[in-house]
Amino acid sequence: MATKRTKSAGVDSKRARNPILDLAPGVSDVVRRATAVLERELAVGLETARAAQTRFRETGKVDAADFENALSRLRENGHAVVDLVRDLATEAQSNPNGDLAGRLVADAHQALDLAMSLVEMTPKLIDQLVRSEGASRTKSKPRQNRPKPTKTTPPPVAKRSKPARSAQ
Amino acid sequence: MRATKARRATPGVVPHLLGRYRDLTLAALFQALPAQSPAYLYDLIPDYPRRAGKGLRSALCLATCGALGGRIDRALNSAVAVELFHNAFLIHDDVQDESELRRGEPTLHARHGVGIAVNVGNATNLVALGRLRANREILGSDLAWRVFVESEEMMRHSLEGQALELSWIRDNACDLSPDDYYRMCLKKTSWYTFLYPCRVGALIATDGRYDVARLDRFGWYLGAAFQIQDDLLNLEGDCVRYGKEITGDLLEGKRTLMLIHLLAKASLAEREELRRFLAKPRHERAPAEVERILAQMKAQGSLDFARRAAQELAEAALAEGLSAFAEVPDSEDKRFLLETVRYVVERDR
Repeated sequence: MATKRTKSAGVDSKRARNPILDLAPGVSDVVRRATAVLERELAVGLETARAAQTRFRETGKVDAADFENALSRLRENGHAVVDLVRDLATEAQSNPNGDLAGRLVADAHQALDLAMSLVEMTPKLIDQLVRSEGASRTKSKPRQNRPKPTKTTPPPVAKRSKPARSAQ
Repeated sequence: MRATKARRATPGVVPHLLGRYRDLTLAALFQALPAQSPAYLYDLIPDYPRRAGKGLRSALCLATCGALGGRIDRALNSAVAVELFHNAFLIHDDVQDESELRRGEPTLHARHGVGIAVNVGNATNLVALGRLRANREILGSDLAWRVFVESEEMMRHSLEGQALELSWIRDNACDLSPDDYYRMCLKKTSWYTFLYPCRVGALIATDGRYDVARLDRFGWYLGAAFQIQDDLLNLEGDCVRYGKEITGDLLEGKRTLMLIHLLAKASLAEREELRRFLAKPRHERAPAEVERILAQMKAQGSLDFARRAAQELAEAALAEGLSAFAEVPDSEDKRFLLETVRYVVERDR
């Protein structure tokens, strides 16, 4: 399967694992239930994303850490869904379309990784957009405040004042 | 246990490191207390820590740090904080559960009254916060902040878990499932006993670069096994070794895995009798009734059911631990972390 996921490295790596299905075969019902409880409790991706969104509204800036936090959970869950399909396909090995299903699953993992990589670039893009929008607003502000010229009043001549020098 | 058969156990590594790290943590804890105290405040904080506790949480924090190549002294503030948070929980927990004994002696509120006990619990949390603040000098702002955020999350889970348990008692919940129990157990016990100390130790060892999620299942399975074993000891343990009143959980109406199993297995008449018993205030629950319920649990296989669950969770914890620490070089700390699994389900206190 062509995915970039690694399970062994602990430092500087994101755990990209299937929440339920990567349990050892024959694992007991108790462990399966307990795992589901943990995963439900940890599944705070949407909540985190919502909090990041609120912060963005308040500050006009994307916090990269917030974003990464939400994204890692989303990536994990995404791969879990793809693995779910893979396991269903593996179970149906007698199916003549098994090979095709396997290839589709591999492609799905790659597509997901690619999509996530694109999404990872989002905070920088948003920050750039916010900055450029802010800059264009600043530029256009004097024009918006400029009084409308009328026939009776001649348009004011913009005077260029010397910048005040600060005392050194 | 299946997975342990492949490994040669190091005799005594768990008691040995528990003792060493406990001494280290307690010395730092006592040093962190304000030198002067108003009557019945900081002077009572050492009361519970001085009793014969295991020091499991601080040892897990220090051992995880050590196993991942970190310096133990850098994790000491956090180890003290986790021990203080734990003792504050115990003080408040004893008040909420109206418990009489803690580690073989009267609970703090039984000795000094509820008002003083609650205040000492709060002061214990205050001193713990001070240790987290002190982390900034040793770990730097960023890492100290990560530890603080982990602490906040741990506190949130623990309080929410406690709220679940209290609400079940208050509302006399009799239709709970094992999944409800596991959720309460994850939040109330596992987070602060296993997930939090391991996460913090790992973060400190790696300057915040460790993906803490790798230890979550290890901590969670271990915590669940630990809590179930604790609940079993409460029913059949030795009062002197266990340090709390035997069958105290039944007197307090705690929804343990055994009680949930019994409620599901009991006949309609037995179930109604149980419901009436659980609806009573604690002081009206007679010892004879408790004995009868314990006998019913034995007859219905509730204790065996819980014992099996603890064993299976411990096996899963060991498998997770072996996987999470697979690339970590062998050391006393690593052996301690893996051997703790066996200790948790075989302990008698």
